[in-house]
Amino acid sequence: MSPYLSLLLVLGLCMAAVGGLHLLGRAVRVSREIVEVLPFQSGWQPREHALSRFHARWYPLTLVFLAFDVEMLFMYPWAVIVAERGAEAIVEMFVFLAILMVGVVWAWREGAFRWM
Amino acid sequence: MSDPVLAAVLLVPIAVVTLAGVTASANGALDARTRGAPLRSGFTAPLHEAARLLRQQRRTLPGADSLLWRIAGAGIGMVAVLKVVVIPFGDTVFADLPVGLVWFNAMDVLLWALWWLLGWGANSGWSLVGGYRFLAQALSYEIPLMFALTAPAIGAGSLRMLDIQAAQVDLWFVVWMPLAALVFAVSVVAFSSWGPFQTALGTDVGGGVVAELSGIDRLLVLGGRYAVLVAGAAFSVPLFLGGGAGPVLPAGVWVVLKTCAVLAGLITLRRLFPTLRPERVAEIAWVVVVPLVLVQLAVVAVIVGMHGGAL
Amino acid sequence: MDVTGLVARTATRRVHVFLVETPGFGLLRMLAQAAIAERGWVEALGPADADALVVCGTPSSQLDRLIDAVWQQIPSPRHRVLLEPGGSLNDLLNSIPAVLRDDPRQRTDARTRRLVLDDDRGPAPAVTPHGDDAGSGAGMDPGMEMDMDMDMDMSGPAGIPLAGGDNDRDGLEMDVTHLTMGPLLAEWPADLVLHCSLHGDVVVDARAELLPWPDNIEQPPEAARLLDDAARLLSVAGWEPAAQQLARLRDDVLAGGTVDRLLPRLRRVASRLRRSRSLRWSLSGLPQTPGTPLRARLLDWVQTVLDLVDPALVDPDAVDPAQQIPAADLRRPTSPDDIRLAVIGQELAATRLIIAGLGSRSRVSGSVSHE
Repeated sequence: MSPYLSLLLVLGLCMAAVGGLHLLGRAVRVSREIVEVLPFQSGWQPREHALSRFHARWYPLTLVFLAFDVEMLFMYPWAVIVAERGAEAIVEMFVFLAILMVGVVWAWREGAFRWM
Repeated sequence: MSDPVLAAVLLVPIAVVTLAGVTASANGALDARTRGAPLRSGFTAPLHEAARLLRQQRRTLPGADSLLWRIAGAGIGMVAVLKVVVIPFGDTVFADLPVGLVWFNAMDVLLWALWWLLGWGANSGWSLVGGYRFLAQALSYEIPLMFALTAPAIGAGSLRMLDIQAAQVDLWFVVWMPLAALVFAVSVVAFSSWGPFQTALGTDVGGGVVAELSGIDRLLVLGGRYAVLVAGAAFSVPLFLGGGAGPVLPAGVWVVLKTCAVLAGLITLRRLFPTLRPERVAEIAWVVVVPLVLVQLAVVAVIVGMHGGAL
Repeated sequence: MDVTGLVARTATRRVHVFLVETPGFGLLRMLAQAAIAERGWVEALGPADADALVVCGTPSSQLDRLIDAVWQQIPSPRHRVLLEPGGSLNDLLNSIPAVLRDDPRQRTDARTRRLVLDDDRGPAPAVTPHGDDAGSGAGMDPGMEMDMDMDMDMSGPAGIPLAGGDNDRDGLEMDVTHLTMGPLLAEWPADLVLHCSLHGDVVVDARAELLPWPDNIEQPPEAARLLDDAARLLSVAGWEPAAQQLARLRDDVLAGGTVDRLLPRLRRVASRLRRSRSLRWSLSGLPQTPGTPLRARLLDWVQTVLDLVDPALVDPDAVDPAQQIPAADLRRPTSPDDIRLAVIGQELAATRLIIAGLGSRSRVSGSVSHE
């Protein structure tokens, strides 16, 4: 059997288990109704919905992250052939990584890793 | 697939849930001891909490994104089980993926979405802040984690978990890739939002992503969090700790024993450190940890290149 | 065997209690915390996590409305009790599991609850004085402003408006949301209300409000109070096990523990806190923290407790109350305006740390009114 089929099987099993847990909960809990409440704000009334454009102050960091995240696409296939190709593969990859690290140092100097 | 293997696949979720329960119980007992509460109340905490949350009414909020919120809550535990499925227990692998390592990586990236959606779905201020804090933290741990995962792959010259395990017959990877192993362990704590990296659920954000969860929805998240911790600990076994290798006992038992040992370490970690705020961690992660892991990778790559394979 | 009954019994063995402290009734709250720990119960961080709502001290009518609103947010099964000085704490707590187990009663309660908008939402937080309302920030053209007003008028689900825009510190348009912290919040001073305007998780404006204290209420001993402050700061800093150690010591001080039992444990905790590099690192890096740095203040509290408890250091003839005040506590913001300035520009979690770092000295006793 294909391993991917095993994964699907387990995923199905997990969903069934969660469904079963919900059924069990339905049977034993004091009310089947889901109670609608206001968000917890120490008892004060919310003035607006919380869902909003969030001020993600770390957005410069996300760009640095993306550079490395894409780099990982090369990293995994590369890892497999290091033993085969030896020095050539190692030098090429670490030159590439060094270039990326220069970017990190620059971002650091620009203060991308600090936010307050 | 033969029937025994099928039965074994069905065992995986049960095993994960059981280990998660044991972990929660041990952690509860340690907490009870520190607080001076009855020890028994700590040991039985998972049982009592499960019954309590099953019996408790579920909640929703006006304008909550219910579908995504519930998917996120149920998904965390599922991700944990799906991680464990590719782990070899001796020669048996429930799902022998040729890219098992990448599968683990994919599942742990899924946790980004799940923790964040959990915070987003509730439409509550504290939850939302908790969800975004997880993302801020994830930006710091994910890259070191991915590099740490690459080290065993270079060592074995394969992304298949059985090959990675087999490459450690002579010498466990933890011996010559200690830094990668350490970074991996810390990242497990981080993606489980546990201990010093519990920012998404912290007291300082009023419980964060679980602030508005009750009943079975809360049970799934809190249980799922322990399950993710178990999955991470279990994955360190074939990656760094020689897989099922060990004297006398069968390989499967060794995998579980080693997992428990790692879990004990992760529980202890929670007791030793306060929460590290994401904005403090970012700089250390990128300026200190990333270069160090890269040096570790370089050492591993050079050894493999000269040696023509694992040590 | 009755399965529902079995589940109900198992489910009520570990009750989660949301504690509400009426200003001035800190001692009562601490005693309740000790009793909760003794039973192996848990303190809830919020209403979603709670089974029981325990109000410590008779609340004012304003506080009562807030308590009602939080009570509405606790899922069934639930129970609410009022703990007053002189009342029997143990009887009161022991009565909780039975009520939670009472299925018919809880089912009826669950059936009858509805979210009635406009009535049950709880009190509306007052508008902060610095013009965050409807985002009428400076430098915005009139057209924008009109847009914004339309945004605010537009009702979102359940009659709650969507967040309106404002310019952030970099001049980018940003949604403003509001969050009020306190007085009903775990690990938060009982007499402080902080209305915050937020960009994401950054506090851009705030208004602090101090609630009045009633007179002539028994206060906890100084050592217990300082341990309580320290435990709270550590809890907010996310070091639960260390916070539990301090909370346990506080309980023992309240229960009249002997010096030779307390002192070695106190010394151990104190040296653990002093040695922790991660704590030093985690509590620093808050820009413009007013007064003494958080870590120094924490260590100061614990050191003062050591001095208070250690018989070798206590001179019974010459106890000057001012001597017992941790030096760090003499220099820190206490007025609403100070608090407002201290939290503006901080992120939410840092705000919690700053507030926890204030401790509870400012309003405790008249004996320190030499300031």
